[in-house]
Amino acid sequence: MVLTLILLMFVLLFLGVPIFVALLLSSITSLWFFTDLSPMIIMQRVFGGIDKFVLMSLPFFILVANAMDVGGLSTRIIRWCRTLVGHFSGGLAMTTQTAASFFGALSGSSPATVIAVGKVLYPELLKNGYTKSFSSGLIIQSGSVSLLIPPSITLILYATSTNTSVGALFMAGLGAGLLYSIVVLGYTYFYSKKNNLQKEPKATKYEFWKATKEASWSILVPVIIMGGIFLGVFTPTESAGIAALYSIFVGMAVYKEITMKKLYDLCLSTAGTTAQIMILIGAASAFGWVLTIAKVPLEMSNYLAEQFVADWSFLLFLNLILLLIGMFLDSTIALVIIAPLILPAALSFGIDPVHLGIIMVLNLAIGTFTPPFGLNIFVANSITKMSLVEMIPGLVRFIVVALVILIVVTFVPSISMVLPDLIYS
Amino acid sequence: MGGRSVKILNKIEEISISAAILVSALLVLFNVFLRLTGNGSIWAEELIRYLLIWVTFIGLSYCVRKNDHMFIDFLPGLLKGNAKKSLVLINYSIGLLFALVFSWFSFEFINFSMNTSQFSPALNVPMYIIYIVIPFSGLLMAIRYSQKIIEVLFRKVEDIR
Amino acid sequence: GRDSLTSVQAEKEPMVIKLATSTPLMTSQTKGAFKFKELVEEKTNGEVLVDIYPTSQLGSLREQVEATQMGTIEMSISLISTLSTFDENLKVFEYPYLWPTNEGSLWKAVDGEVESKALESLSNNGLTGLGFWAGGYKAITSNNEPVLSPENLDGVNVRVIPSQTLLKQYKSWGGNPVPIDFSELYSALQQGTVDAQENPLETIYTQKYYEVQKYLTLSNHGYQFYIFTVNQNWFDQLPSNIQNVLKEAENEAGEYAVELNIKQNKEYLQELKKTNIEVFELTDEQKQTFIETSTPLHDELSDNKEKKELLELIRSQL
Ligand code: NA
Ligand code: NA
Repeated sequence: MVLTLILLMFVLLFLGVPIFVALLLSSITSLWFFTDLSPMIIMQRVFGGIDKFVLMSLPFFILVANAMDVGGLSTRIIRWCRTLVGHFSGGLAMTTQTAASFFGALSGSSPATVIAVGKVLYPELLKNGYTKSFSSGLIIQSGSVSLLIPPSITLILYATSTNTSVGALFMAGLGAGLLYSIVVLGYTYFYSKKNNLQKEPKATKYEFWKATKEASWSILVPVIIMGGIFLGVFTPTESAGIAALYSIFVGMAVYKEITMKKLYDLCLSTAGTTAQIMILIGAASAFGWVLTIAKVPLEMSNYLAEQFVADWSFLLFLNLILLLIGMFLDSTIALVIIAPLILPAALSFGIDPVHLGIIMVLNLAIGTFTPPFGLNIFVANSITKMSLVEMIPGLVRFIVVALVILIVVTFVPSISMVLPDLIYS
Repeated sequence: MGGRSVKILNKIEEISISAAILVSALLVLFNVFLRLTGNGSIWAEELIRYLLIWVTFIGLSYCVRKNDHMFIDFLPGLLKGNAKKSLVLINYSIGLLFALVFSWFSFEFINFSMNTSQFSPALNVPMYIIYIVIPFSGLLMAIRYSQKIIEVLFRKVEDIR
Repeated sequence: GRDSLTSVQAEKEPMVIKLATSTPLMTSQTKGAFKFKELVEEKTNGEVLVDIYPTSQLGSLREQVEATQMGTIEMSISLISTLSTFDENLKVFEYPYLWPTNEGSLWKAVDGEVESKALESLSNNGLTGLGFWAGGYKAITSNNEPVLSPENLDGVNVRVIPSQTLLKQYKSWGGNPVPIDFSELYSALQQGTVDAQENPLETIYTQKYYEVQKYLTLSNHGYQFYIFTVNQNWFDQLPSNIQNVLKEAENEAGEYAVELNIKQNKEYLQELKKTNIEVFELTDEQKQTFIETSTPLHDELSDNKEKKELLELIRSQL
């Protein structure tokens, strides 16, 4: 059954049918021919896969991104960022990564971050002489930090399925997420220096002041989100909806760039993007259900636990397997199924569950931008309009950077453990 | 189906999903307002969730029409001319087949759901009312894929996307 | 000879049952499920095998029940608060201060007529309930002040799961019940979006709510029941000897899980006392004020004949 499932999925994908069709048609077919289970369970799993309140932040963050774009908020923020860091080498690329960490700290959703940052900054990067390949790679990987920097849906899922402290995981995620961002920032700096990318003249005090004043309404968006969450006015998911309404309000009433017609269009395009992404999550959930019933994840992790005698070889192999799983499975599904099964083996090797959580999430985060099935690649496709083949070189350079970070995070536990140890013991 | 009714269908599809997006954002604000004023409601969260799930399912058809669904363009990118036209036809036919299979099992699912008495916890409506969007989405997709097939059949080879 | 022996073995392929639970591996429900597996496989000499899918691997609680109705999963151990969206009569089990506040008397009241009446009601939904399992008493945690009387809840945002019963319960105690998704509860408590919540000790301990809450009241105002449910059509067409084995194994594993749950809850309480959260028990007087405010709700919420009968039956067993 597993063979048919996977083979059929690959054939359908190769032909170029929509990915969700490939996942669902292969799932339905393999249930129909190889089990006596009714394929109507697939319908339930698609629905169940997207029937999660935290996922509702996704459409709202897409709406934020669209409203900021159409309403002129994004351009003003970028203008302001440029007066701030544009005169450095790689200023705009660095702005992209910083903005991603920022949006990641708001959304906790990797694809939403890619949309929010990419929609605004991708065209700007191209205008400023960055290659399509580098820019798309930068944008697609930028979603990863959102899985590490709190709030993170993925870390919460890990915490609940392994009985680990959410607070400690958030602190550990913050440490690893900041390291990730700093390393990528460093890489973009050297890349830009080496390629001699154009810098802008340093802004005068007046120019900086003017840009700040114009952008102030826009800069309030993240302030509202963070402030609202930290003051306990609303939950992270709700903050996304509020931020969307606020952005629409500013675009309509303050900057007067959103007309009723544009409002309709931006809601429509948000709905389209929402359907595109949510159905992938639903279809992956159904596909994962079939894999689970066929005990594929279970057998894989049992094998893992049996094979290794030392913790370093276990960790190395764990990383390889997780990278592989991350390439094919939705990160939340992979996490919920595999984390509780791997934990006992990890504990026997003396690995801290918080540290293990960060390793797992980082692996799955890399999986979101690894070809062929990294979710964010497809998400970003709606922005870059590039084919997978065109995007690969740009992705590979960031995968290499991320793998270096992964090795450091794996073998230097103190990166993950320093903040939680400081606060919780 | 005539051109006029297709246009009406398109419009209904578009208006419903874009309105649902805006309404769900407004509901978030309303829900926060209720909580802050001490009138916590339990229905708003569920309504938002189901609205956005409806957007997803109706949006499936919209994205089929706009060719917006994510796919791997390796083989389609390689082919040209009649080969490309054949591949596009094959893919749309697979899409149509999928939409029909999807509708079939969704109807089975609705039938199952109607014979049980599950109610949504907060809105207290029968779950099949909420699930009904799934077969509806399947049928819409079947219409869209049929339209696509007809379009391709009557189009010149050079105009194939 | 050899050949005939292997062909006999090949004919007798073991029956495989899928059993889903919503809780992690170390919980009494999932450990009980593994006990069930062990018993069934032993009693049938391996002719019936049980595959366990813990931690909501096959879907959320709601989806798990639905899949059991469909028969894609043969069995599941599901929360009564979820099952009550499939069979509204089960809502009676969630009424505040309906049950004795100690486990011995509670299970004495439930075992027997009450249990069979509830399972009979459930059987109208394509599900056969084999028995009640334990989830533990609910406690209330808070941040502003310890909850020792309904007054302490005045205007306080209390997180609840979406349920009319809980909504009315907390409104009658003066609180402002608001639904927050489970996955957002920790941070909502941390940031003060809500100030209080209710859950069994197991959840409070394993979700580390003691990190973000100051006070814990052992209110014992409600009890979380689980029901071991199986797909009806599937179960009805099993040979009666297999049915009996499954019933016996469920019974034995259920008793084991109830005892384990009681033992674990004592341990959770000890562990919670070691943390920074301050633990309060209600005196009989304090409990009485809650009970007085809650009792009128029992009749108000029993809005059909079946619920009224069930309520009367429970009262007669107390
Ligand atoms: Na985040
Ligand atoms: Na992935």
